Amino acid sequence: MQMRLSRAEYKDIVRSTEQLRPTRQCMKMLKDRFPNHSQSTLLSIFSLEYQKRTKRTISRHHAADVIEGHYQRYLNEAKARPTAPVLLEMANEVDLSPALMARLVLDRFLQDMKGEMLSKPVLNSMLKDPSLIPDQVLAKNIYQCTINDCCYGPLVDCIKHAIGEEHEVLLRDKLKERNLSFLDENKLRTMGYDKTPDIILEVPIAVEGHIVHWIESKASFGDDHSHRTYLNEQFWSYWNRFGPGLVIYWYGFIGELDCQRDRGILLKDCFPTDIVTLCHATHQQSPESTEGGQ
Amino acid sequence: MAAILDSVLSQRIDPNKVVEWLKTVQERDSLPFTDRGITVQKHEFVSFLLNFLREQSSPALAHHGTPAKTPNRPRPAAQTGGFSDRRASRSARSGTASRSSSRVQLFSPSSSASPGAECDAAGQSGCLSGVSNFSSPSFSTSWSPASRPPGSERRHSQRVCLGDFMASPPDTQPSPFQSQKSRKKSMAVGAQWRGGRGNQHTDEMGFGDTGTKRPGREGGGHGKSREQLSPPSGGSLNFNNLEDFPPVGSSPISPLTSKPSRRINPTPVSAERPRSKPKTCFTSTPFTKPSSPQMGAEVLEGSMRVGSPLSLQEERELLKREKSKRAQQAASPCLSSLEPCTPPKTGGLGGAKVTPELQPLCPERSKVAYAPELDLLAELYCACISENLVPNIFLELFFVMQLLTSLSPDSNDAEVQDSFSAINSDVLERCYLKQVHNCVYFAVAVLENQFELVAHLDKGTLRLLAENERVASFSPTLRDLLVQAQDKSSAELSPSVSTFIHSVPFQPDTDNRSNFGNDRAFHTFKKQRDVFYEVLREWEDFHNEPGWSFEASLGGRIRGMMNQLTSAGIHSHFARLFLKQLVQMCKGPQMTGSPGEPPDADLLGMLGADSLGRLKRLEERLIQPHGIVGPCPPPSFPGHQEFFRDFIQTSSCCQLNQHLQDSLCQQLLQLDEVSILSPSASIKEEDEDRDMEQQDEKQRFSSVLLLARLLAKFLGFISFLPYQTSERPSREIQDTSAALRSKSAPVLDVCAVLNDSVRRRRTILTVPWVVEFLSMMDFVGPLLPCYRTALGTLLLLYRRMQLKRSADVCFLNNLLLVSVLGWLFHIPAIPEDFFFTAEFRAAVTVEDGNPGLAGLVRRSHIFFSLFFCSCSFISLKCFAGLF
Repeated sequence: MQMRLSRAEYKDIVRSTEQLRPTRQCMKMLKDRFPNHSQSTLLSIFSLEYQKRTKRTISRHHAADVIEGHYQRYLNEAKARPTAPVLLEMANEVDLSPALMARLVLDRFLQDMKGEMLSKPVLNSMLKDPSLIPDQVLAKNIYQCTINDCCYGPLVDCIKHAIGEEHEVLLRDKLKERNLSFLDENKLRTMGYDKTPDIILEVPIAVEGHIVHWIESKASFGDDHSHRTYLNEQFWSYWNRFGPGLVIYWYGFIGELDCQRDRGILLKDCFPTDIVTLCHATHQQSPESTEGGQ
Repeated sequence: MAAILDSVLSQRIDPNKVVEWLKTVQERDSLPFTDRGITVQKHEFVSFLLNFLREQSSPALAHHGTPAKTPNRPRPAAQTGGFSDRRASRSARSGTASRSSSRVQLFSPSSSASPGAECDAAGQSGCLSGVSNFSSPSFSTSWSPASRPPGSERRHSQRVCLGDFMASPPDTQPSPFQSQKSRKKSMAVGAQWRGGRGNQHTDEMGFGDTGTKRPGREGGGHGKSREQLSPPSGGSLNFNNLEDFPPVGSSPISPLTSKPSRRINPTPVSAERPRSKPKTCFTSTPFTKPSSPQMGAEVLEGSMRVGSPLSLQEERELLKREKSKRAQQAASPCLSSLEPCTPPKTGGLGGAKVTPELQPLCPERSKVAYAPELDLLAELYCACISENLVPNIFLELFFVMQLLTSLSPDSNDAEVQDSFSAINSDVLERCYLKQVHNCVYFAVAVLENQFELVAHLDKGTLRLLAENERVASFSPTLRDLLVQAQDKSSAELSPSVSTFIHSVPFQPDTDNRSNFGNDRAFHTFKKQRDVFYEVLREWEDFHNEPGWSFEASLGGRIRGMMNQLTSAGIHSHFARLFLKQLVQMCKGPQMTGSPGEPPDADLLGMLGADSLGRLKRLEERLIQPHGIVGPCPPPSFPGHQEFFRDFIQTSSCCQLNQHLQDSLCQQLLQLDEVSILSPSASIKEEDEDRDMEQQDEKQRFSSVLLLARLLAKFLGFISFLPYQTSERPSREIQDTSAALRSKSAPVLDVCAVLNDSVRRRRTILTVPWVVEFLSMMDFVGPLLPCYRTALGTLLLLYRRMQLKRSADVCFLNNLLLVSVLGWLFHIPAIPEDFFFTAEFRAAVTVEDGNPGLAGLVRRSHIFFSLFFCSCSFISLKCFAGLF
């Protein structure tokens, strides 16, 4: 499966996602349209694009009168059709993420009940577990929204977190398989490091001719925006402390972004196969490496 | 002094006696025989001889845009009435009135009324410029030796080093724009440049006159002052200089010389080439045959017509003035001729000396006049070099190479000159080095004599010499020796340094939360570290772009960082990071030039790449002229060092500087204590392990040495930063400042470090870094007692370190020390008369009894590559321009 996309390919995919909603059906369409790309890559690209779209439009749903409008409409429709997924339909109709719509309406609902703003943790826990919501119809609607949203909501957060963990485990397994000793993030934190990549190799390796001291695992697609943010907030900071390193975007990335190799940031979409370790080097080409060592 | 030379040349004294005298170790010895009953001090004789040779060769070297390398220190005060007050002031200051007066005496015999005397008078101004360092600030600080007009102030130069060989010519042009333009033009239209240069000459000459209105040879006006620190390289990298930039395609000079063709022919020179085959490479690409005089003439004539009217006008005026003023030395083609411009197609790179009057003259051994006298001069001169009586042996070598590659002045002048000298029977007034034949003869004689030194030059230079037709025709033996030396030479130019920046690793021991007073400090430092590297990366990306300014682009961010550091009180953390990063990036061998660009590859490439690429690079070099560096470049911050220097300057944070100083001092003293094992001790066992060990040891030593030099340079930079001025302050200000500053302790007790090092025979490590430290001194620095004494000690070391007397094992050790010391003596901050002053000799004699001096360096730690890393100024770069 191809994961390192050219910018043109990437743009092609992005263009196809422009009209899509964050639903399973839409994901299926996307997958059918680009059979050569993995579902995860497509979903990740869509998710990133959808988040950008949402960021652009969310403000218009946050105005008090709009919220009030959504809420009143929900109350009316839920009253008329108690078994129908009215909230989900509404979300699709106004082109808002179902999970976000659920949050808005629940927030408004709770205000009515208690007469004051509730703390965020309460709201979040109700979103995670709708059975905590006193109104059964609303609880059902919230639940429908959550499970039918592939971009936002507690379910998606949970999945993303799990995938992230999974890939970190995967990475550690691969490292152990290769007998490479390393320190992971947790260990680093206890040692007092101020910035911590997922992995620091205790003995650096060379990947495709580039020295690697640290590895960061990203279970997402690397697009321009996210990569730039990561560079500024993480990768360069790692470089500043640990030297050159490797970033694995498990769901692929825009090939053109891999332009800092010579500067010490290498991008890969999988665990590298071309690894040279110090012991390799000394075995294979001891005269050269001793010279180089000096 | 003149008397001695006079006597030697007229064979009244056995030259061997003089040589013996020069070789005697006793510094104070006066010459045992003087026909006038005068005692001659050795240093006085040496400076006289050096000046004499410069003076003699000035016409022949006139076209060497690079200053006539007048390396020597001001000659001892000469003696015309006009100067007496100056002299007096100086004597008063130094309390050496008797010395000056004795000089007068010594000198007077030859300075009567002959042209020779005229020379002396000129020399006088030179010596006065040295003197005037103290009395008249404008004199010395504005002096630009580089563009000294050939005949006149060359002696001034003593200061030569700096400006002289500098490559960037900003001063020459009135405005940056113009400079750009003219530089570009110079490729197509050489004349433009000439104009600029002509002007400069006037200025310069004006300077020479400041003290003495001598109608003789110096031009009239008073020049504007220039800063010495930013060397006026106008003259130095002279595109008009045929030697530096021979016109491609035209071969105005001797068709036999390989000179012009070298640039044209793709002589494939590369560091890796096991041996060069000069002859074959010439055939590899078609080029304008050097031996087609007609064609050359056409080119010349054609080029003559091009040229801006303005500059022509200026030229003419200048020319007239010059001619009238210089009865004797009108010959300087560089002033008196219009600038021919080689057409762009043929390369048009300057073509400076291709003046119509200048007949291509092929030096011939049979045409050498005064051969016996030249032999004598060469012998005396070589004795001075061998005995370390000259301030900088490489500067002398450079001078000799200039003689070797000199052009003959036009024949008319030569005739005038000849007739002149015919009338004058005085041996000192004969023109020994006027004719190219004689220059080459003399140069070859010196090179033969000093072959051991020459053989230690880098491969590229050796090759240039070995291929030089003049060397071959004057001394096939020398040529053969050079070829052999070239094969043997392991003096490869340093390999290109990786451009990849490495960061300083985070160390939990020193960097984690427990090392900070509070969370805020910890997190502030976390952010500052990232900002620091962001700034560094930005610098790396953009600093070479035209118009980019460190201050404008990074100044705000850096000062913001400093504020954050100050409010969190974490300067020490940042200082550590800063220094570690400095070491990380700059520890390796650095050559002058931009980082990453293999320093001499450029030059080597120009000698022999494909013609297109070569032209391109030549063009680049014209636009960005930092190619040619003489043997005495000013202290600089090459490569990444520039970032750290600019950072320190821009941040102007006293807290940071203090922390840096503390840390640098500590590290330096630690490094200075590093144990130096003796590789020679293990030499008996020749097995491979031993050899490896020895290699390791050398590597270790080399890394310690390079690191110490780097740290010392920055320590010097920071310590003297508060006192730096762009020009030398007035005498009064210097005195006041010295008195004030001598009250507080210097950052580093250099004297103690040096004495200790001498006692423990560790000078090979200590001296190079102390030299780096001292090279950063401001103008007042050398006047402070502590540094004054240190300089005196160094001077003593220099005098004691004759290469000829070093065992093979120590040759490179001593060569390194001699080179770095010679370089130091030419730093702008060091008073011009330093080398030949008795005051220092006094300080020095105190040390004389030290038994440790006998064997200063017992072991060989230096190897070729380290030598060239450490003395990057002595390489192909500094000589290639001549060929």
